[in-house]
Amino acid sequence: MKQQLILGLALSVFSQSLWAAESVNENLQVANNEKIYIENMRGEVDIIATNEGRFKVSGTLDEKADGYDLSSKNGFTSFKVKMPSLRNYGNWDDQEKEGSRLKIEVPLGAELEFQGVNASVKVSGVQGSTKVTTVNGSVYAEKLQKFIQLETVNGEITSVNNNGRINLNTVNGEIEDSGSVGRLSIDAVNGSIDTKSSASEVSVSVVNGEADLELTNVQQLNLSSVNGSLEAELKGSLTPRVEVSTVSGNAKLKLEKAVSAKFNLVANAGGTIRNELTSQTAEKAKYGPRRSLEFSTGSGEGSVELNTVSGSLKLETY
Amino acid sequence: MKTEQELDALIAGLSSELKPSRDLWPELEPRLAESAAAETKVIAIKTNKWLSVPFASAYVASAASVLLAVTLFWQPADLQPVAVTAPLAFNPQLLDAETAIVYSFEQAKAEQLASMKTVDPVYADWQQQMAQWQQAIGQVQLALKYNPNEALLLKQLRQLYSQQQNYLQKVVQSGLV
Repeated sequence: MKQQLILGLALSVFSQSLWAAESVNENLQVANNEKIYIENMRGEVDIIATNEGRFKVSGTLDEKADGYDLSSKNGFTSFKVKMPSLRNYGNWDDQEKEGSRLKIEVPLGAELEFQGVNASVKVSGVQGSTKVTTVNGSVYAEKLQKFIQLETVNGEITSVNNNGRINLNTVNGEIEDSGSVGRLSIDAVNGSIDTKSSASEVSVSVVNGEADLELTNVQQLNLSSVNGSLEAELKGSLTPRVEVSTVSGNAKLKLEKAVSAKFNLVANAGGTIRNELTSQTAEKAKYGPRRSLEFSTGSGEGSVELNTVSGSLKLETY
Repeated sequence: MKTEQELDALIAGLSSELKPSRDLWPELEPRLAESAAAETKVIAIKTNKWLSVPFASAYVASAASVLLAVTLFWQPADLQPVAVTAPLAFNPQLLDAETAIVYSFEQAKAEQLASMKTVDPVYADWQQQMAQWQQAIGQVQLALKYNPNEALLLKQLRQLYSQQQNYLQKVVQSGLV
């Protein structure tokens, strides 16, 4: 009886290790502008663009995977880790221990799409376009070009030196961006946003989190917040077009001394306005709680509009 | 202490119609019959010119027209087709900007909520999140009471509804996967 038990346990451990150890090693020649779709529900995936003109995947599959599907035809390559139908792909806490561990190489000019659930992704160097969607997991993206869309629900997004039309979106995680160029759009519901960008057009929306922006040569800036605070420094922008709106959050803009713009600041119901850019001060409406401030600097080429319901608005200079 | 303008703005924000919470007709009908009977009684006592022959024909004519109208339009409640009792088509374009925004987004939201089947656990707090947007929308609407048709506030209202809609879309889609 005891021997049977030991044998059973041994078989169980052995089969589990077999289950966990399925490896993958594929290498295909593909076009430089190949459209590549990757689907992996759990684990960690590292995608790197090389100038080898190939799609290469290596590593181990998810313990619960039923193998994988790989197809490549007419400029389209698809790699899917096959999973049984699960409603729930495990907890976020388990992610460190479970799931696939994959390293994938794609051509530099590839157009990449990745989809996962409890998956963290690291992608770098893709010059076609990149779309990454995960739910519980972080996204790290570096040196991407053209259309860049990075999205998660519970996870952090880190964007480094990306160039193009960049779209970063999370619900509960943080977003960190640095060195971005082109058009940048960032949305977070509860997470905070931190960016040091040289993008010419920037749009940031946050509900409860905070946003801290250091922008260089930005031409157009849209900021919105519900409860969170917004702080933006605009270096080198002499005629920017800025729109800021908050409900109860505070907003602070730091502008160049030589900025040339028409300013319109409104606090609709109990908010405050502080102007340290010029000597003008806000006026209170004769009736009601509204305060407003309108003035121009230089020849008034740019436009700066700040609007809040009950938060505070502040203009600063370098 | 509210100013006259603020009170006017608040009054303007009130609905011009108040619908009864229940069907009042069953109670009204017998009382109308009673008052009609009382009216007839009073008229019968009077012996003035209104009861003279020239007016009698007018009474007959008006009674006939009332009878005709009743015949044409009155039907027992259980026989009335649904289309007759349905409210007139609502045209948001005829309303002020704020109401139009609220109407269109609330309608879209109701459709989204109706299409919701299950919600992925990652969006477990979606109702709380929606409530936060709703609170913010309420604050903007309050500010609009003070500054009706303020363009920036209307834009903000639209933006908040749009954010809420996008979020709800994600929640709904999470349950469809």
